[in-house]
Amino acid sequence: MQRVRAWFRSKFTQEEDTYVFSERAAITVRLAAVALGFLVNNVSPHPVAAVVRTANVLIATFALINVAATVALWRGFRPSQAYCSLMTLVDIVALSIAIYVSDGLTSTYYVLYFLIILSVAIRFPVRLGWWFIVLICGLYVAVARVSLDSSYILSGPLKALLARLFAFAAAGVFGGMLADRERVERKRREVLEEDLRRHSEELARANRELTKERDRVRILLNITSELTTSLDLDRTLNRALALINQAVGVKQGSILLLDPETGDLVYRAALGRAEALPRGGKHTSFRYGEGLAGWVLQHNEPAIITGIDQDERWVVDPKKKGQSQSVLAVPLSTGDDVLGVMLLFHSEPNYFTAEHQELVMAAAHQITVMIKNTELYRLIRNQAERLGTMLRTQRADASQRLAILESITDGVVVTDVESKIVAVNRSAQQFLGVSEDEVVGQDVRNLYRNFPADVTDAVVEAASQLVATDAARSYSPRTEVLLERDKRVLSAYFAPILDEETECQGVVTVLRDITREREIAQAKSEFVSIVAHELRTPMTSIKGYADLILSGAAGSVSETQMQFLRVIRTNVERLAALVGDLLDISRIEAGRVKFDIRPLRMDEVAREVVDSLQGEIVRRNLELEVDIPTHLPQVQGDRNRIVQVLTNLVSNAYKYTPPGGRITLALHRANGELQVDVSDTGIGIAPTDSDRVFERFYRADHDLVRQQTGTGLGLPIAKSIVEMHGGRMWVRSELGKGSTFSFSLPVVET
Amino acid sequence: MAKILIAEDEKDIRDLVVFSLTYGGFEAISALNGVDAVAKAEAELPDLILMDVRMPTMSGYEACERLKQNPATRDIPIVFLSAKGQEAEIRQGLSAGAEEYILKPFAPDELVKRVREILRRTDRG
Repeated sequence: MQRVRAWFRSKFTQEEDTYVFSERAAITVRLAAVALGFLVNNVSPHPVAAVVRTANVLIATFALINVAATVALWRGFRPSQAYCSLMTLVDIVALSIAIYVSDGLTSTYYVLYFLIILSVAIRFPVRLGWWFIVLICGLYVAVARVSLDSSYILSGPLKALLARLFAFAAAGVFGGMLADRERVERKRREVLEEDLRRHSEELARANRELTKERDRVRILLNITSELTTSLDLDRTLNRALALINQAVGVKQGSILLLDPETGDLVYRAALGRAEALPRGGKHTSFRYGEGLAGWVLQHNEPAIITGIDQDERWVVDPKKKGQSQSVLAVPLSTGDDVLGVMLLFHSEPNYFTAEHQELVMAAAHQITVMIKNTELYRLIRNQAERLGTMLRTQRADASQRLAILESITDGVVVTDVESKIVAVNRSAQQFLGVSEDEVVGQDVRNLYRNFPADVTDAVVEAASQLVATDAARSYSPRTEVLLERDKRVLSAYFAPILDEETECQGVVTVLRDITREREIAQAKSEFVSIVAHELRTPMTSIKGYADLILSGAAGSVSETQMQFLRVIRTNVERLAALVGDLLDISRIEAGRVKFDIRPLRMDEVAREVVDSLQGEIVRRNLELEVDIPTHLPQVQGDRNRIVQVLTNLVSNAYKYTPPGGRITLALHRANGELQVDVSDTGIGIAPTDSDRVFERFYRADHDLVRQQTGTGLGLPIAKSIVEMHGGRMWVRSELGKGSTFSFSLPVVET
Repeated sequence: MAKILIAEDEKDIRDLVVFSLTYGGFEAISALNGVDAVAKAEAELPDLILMDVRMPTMSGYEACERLKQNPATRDIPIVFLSAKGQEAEIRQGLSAGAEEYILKPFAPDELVKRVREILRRTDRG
């Protein structure tokens, strides 16, 4: 049964309802024909009762078939072309039988063929329709043949038959043409309708898309304008989240940002939470790569969870279980830089769509830009604050320095590399008799205009040498220039202003009023001078008479007396030396020593000193080595004073070197200066004492030192003399092995 | 026998020099100050004058200048004896016309030796 039904369905039904209407019309016509046939058959019955009965049975059968078909059509049966063809066939056969039964050619039922032809024309394509018309014509001819003999046919009725056949054909052609035209028309209409429908659908879809796009743009605009209203990150994030939630239709969501220092995710905004978030957010236990948020961060791509129980990326919090079913998570990122993640929750499973995701992604991008802007703003603000603080500190420092500069009693003058005056403090203005307004920005010479030209030259020269030469870099001794005017004495010291690359940027000149010091020193010097004179007069008598007695001029004296007299003489000589040195040093300190500076050949000076001391050195059984190279440059110096210095060093060398030792005197050129080294193999100096040997009255604690006459003033005097020549003096020594005293003097550049 | 004038206000030193010169074979005459020295020099015309710098009434420099202005005494060599010893003073002394400058304290035999040398040098011995 199933099979039959399936076969029936496959053969006689189709998807389209193409034939439903025509079949209904056909059934209506058939049922009308049935009713008419039944009426004719029974109201004016056939004379043969059997024929009437048979006709009734056939009519009933035909009626039943059509009732069944009606029911089937009623229940949604969609007939196929094969079914319609079969039914048309049945119609034709049934009508032909009816015509045959009702006297054949004379029956007027043949008119009904036109109904069938019409229905065929309407239903079927022209080619199939023709076969039915051929069939109708054939059957009608057959019916006519059966009901009449051939001879008859060829007479009058034949014409009627042919005329009817022609009429059938004409009806078929005409109906077919009409039907075809109708079909073409219908087809065109259908195509048009289809086009219209498609266009309407497309329009509707486009409209829907546009509306959606408009909504999305509106939401994004709202979010963007919300994001730009404030730079308060927490507030803005919460507001943006609310707008997104509203747009997507969810009640719960959160924004988590990655803390770059700890790698933790921090809740910065949350919607639908029971308690509010603290300012600055709340740290979560999620980290990069952990949980859904961590996954999104790691992969930098959005994720939709349709059911949280089915997705292992979702870490279910037992307390919140069952609250949400769907999750949409999107990264907050620009390029590869992921700042955080936004999560949206919904209680229904399968809630989030690709459109939601698209919208939220667009919003997330805006939020990311906003976060970056906020960061940038914060950075700029911090930078500005820091710069402001720095500026304030610098201003405070500057005014502090200015206050210090103005309050000190020393004069301070700052000049640049072009000898232009940059700053002059109050004391300097007083000392120099100028005002700041007149001189700042002017050449430094304007500053010293109240002084003699040679003083000005000396000051300018000292300052410009610091700028011009490498002296600034290796600057150690302070150049001092004295400025004297109206009994007032100023000492000027110079120091270079070096930048980080040790380039000289200018010179600081410190002026000190030493008038009072100078007066005191001169008074002291004069006092010493008087004392010295007063001491030398009795010493002359003591020494002179002792010498006279020792020479035997005053008669003979015993050997013991001679010995005692020698002690007196030695001590008087020592006293005389001490007085001489005291005079020297007090005059040096008072600045009363005037040098007769002229070009000097150090080799000559060295030979002179060696010649004068040679005898003593030999007497002490010491060896002297002299190393004087040829072509030494000349130095600037006072001959007598340099002789004094070198004599002091060589005599110290032989005094403190035991017999059998060696003294070396060497001259050589070093760093643009002429250096003199006096070395000995003597007792040496302990490292702790090596600086003290240049102190006044210092004498080392050593037997050999105590045995020698000495005042403890020779070296300080020598060092002062060298330094006043612009040179340096120093010592290298090892206790028990010997010492090397060296001094250097500037050479005369030729 | 050469005649040496010694001008010195300090008696001990004057006596010392006089004794030394006499012992050394010279005739020594002494003056107590600058004024005395100028007067004695003009009167005695000595072969050499030993002159202290700091003396009352007239300093050694002044006396030296006076004597150098007088044609009679202009050529007598003058040697200063001084307890001062700075270059400036020595220069001042020499510029006043002195032959030499001997610093106190001195050794008497050395003084006599120097006197001899100067006399020989100036052709007065």
